[in-house]
Amino acid sequence: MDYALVLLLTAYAGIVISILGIVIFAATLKQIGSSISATTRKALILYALSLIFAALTSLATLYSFEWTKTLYAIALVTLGSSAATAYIERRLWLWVVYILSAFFLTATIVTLLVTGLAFRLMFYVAILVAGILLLVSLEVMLVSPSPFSISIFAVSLANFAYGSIVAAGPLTRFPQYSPIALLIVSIMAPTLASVGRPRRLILDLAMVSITLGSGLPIVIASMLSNDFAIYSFVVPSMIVSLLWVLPLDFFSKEAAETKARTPKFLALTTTSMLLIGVSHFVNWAYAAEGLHLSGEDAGTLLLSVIHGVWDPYIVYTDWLLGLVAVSSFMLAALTATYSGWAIEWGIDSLLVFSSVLIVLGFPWINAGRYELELLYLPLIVFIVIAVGLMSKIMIDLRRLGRDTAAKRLLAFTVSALLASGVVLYSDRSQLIVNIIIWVLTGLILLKSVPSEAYGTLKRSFRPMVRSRGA
Amino acid sequence: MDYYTVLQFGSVMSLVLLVLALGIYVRAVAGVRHGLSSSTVRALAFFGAATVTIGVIVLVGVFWPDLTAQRLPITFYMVFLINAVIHIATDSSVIHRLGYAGTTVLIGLAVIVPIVLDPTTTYELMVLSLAVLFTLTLLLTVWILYSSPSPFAASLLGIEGSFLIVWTLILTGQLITNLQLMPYVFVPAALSAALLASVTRPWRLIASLYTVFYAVMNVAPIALALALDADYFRLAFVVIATLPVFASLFSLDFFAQQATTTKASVPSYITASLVAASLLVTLHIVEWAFSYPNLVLLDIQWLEWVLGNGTIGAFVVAAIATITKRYVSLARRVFLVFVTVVSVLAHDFASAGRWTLESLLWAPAGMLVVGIVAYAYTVRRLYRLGARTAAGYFAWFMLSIVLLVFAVMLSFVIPVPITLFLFVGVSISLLLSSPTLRHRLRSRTS
Repeated sequence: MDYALVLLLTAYAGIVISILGIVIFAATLKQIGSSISATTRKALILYALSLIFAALTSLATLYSFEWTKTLYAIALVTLGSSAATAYIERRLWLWVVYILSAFFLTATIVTLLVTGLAFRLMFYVAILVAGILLLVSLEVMLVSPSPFSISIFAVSLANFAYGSIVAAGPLTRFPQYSPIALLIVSIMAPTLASVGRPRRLILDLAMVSITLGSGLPIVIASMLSNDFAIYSFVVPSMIVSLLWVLPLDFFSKEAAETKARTPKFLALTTTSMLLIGVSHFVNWAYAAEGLHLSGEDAGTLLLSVIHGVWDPYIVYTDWLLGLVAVSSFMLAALTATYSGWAIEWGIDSLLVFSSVLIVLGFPWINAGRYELELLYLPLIVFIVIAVGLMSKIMIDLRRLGRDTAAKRLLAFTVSALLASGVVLYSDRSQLIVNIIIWVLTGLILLKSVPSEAYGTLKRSFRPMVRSRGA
Repeated sequence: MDYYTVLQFGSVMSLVLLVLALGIYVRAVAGVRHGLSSSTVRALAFFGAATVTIGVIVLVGVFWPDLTAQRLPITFYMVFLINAVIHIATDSSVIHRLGYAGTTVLIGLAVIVPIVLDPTTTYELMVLSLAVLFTLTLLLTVWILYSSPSPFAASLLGIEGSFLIVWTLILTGQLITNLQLMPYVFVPAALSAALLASVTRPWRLIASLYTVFYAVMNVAPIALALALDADYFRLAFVVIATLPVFASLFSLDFFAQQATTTKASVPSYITASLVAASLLVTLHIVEWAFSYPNLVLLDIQWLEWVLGNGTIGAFVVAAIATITKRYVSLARRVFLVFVTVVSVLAHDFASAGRWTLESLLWAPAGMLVVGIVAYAYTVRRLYRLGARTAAGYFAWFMLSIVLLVFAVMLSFVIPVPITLFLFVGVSISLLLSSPTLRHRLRSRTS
């Protein structure tokens, strides 16, 4: 598999995602344009501009450092101006921000033309600007939390992280981290696309774009080089990740409607399970690529155990997401059965337990002295307790006569367990076993949501039915 | 100083303390006997017997390192414990009688089996039956705690958990081979004695009694062995360094009372901080006395590290709780995670010799600075509001924890007289931080 191709396709995926987001946003703006104020419209358009430049930055990263820096600076300036337009009320201050942005942009472009050491310096200035934007947006988010301010904060964080990562330069050196290129786009495009629609759509769309944006390039590249070991695993895993969006949408809808804590925690579990799927197939592709299996016979591969060298940092990401998934699953069970005091203690002990495992799982602490398998034992005890607590809820639901709800919860739990089974032991079992478990996970997952949920998900994509009434 | 002698003294001392506590327990239970059902009284009797047996197990383990010598004490402990649990769990006399019959059979087996079978088989049978019985008891206790939570059931669980520590130490033979682990051996005995002595009294007594019993069980044998060696310099150190444990009792009692009656968060965190501080002092004395002329750090330094960070963490959270009510649980969680991370990093398993505790000292130092700033803020605010006495209590409490941390951190570096001076300072400021004591003193002098 050609990793340069994967990176290129990921960058193109980012551009496609951002164009889709902007097209949907443009359609929305045409319909509701008259009902929003001129400032909001201006802020949103600047936000869309920033999205385009962010997507172009990812592409430029592959070719030229100079263009990366310039595009990054433009994306930052438009993002900052968008936030300033939306939240600064005094015209004088707004102009100060605009003039400072223009000055920063001019300085970047002038140094680009002169080039040399000063230009490298400008990139660090840009990262500094991203840091300032991050602090300001944190303040704005705390003062007036709304989907827009939260997304501004998230995007600033993503920009800051992206700038720091690109400055260190690992994206072309370690192409297995290709999903980083989608970091900014997969927050901004869903935010734009769901303007005027239910808020939970942001999360759904972000998850869909991360899954497809990091999965499809790997699938295409591995199919081109006839790498059966990679695409036979990545395709089912990607489909399962997409299917997780169904319960995610369902739980976030429940959370928004009932304001209860249990669906919120279940939504967090679902999100982390989905992201584990993504980071796991990315790492699988890397490990299988290291074994040079392209052109091998599919039958032989299906029956063999593919045990390559995994990237330790992606494994650690899996580990973190897994701990979040189990903790939030347990908290969902706790909040559904117990009250105040027990929940507080539950959260505290989960924090202690997870932080021990987070520290011990870290590659630097580990330093190659032990495999992560050593830590699976406490994790599995943890999972067993969580499933035990959840079974109590299922039994209670059955007693109350809510058989379908109990069955759906059972399906959700079983599919989460199956998925964690693959994530924990995919390099210890035959390829065919992995594929079968992924397929089973997907099938059971379909049973975990009520059939209305499909309709709700479809309806929320339909343009502007709700917001007009609201 | 002969370490083995210290361990022997300590095991005798813990048994003596346990028997004394049993006396208090028997008197207390006899006083309320008429209000209880017969099966509850029997459960309490079995509980008392099981608790004292822990002392016997430690004593036998120290004097006769042979594992088969443990067969009777451990069998007795298990049958006492399981009978106590059975008597709480059910009122059915059939099951009670079955329990008695099982008890007889087990004790009979414990006597007969070693005569018939060879030691290895005996030992294996013992471990197996013990594991089965222990798991059964543990499950029953958890079930009782789940179905009808009571302090009694919780303390049963505590006793069972601490038995696990002693059993691990005996089974691995570390009780005799690794004398540094002495402080672990006395945890169950001190906990049991505290539980026995505080029955029918307010539950907050458990904390105060536990710290005192633990200090006595650890320090008294060391002091005795040092006196026998005529090593008066170390004896003086050990005795003076124990003062903070007793000085903290007055504040501990006051804050624990506040915590249990008002359910406020500040006294709860101060109580936690004081308990950890007092245990830290005890552990530090043991470490210092064992390693004095060379002053190298021992294995128990990790436990000290955890306790020290716990002390400072609870101290800081208490300070934050005096300033704001809104972010208390957030602050608690932040410091909980921080202390956990620092504790894990300090353990040999994580560091593997790549770094030492000294390189992690910034963590407790940073927390201490945050705490000092927060206390200074509170003290100044209280002082401006006119609550000068309250401000004084807080200031003295802060000073005591700060001095204690310095004494513990620096005692291996600075000259011994200065350490002693610090410990005396800790004791004085702890005494001054206790509202009850100062109130009493003032009413007596005026």
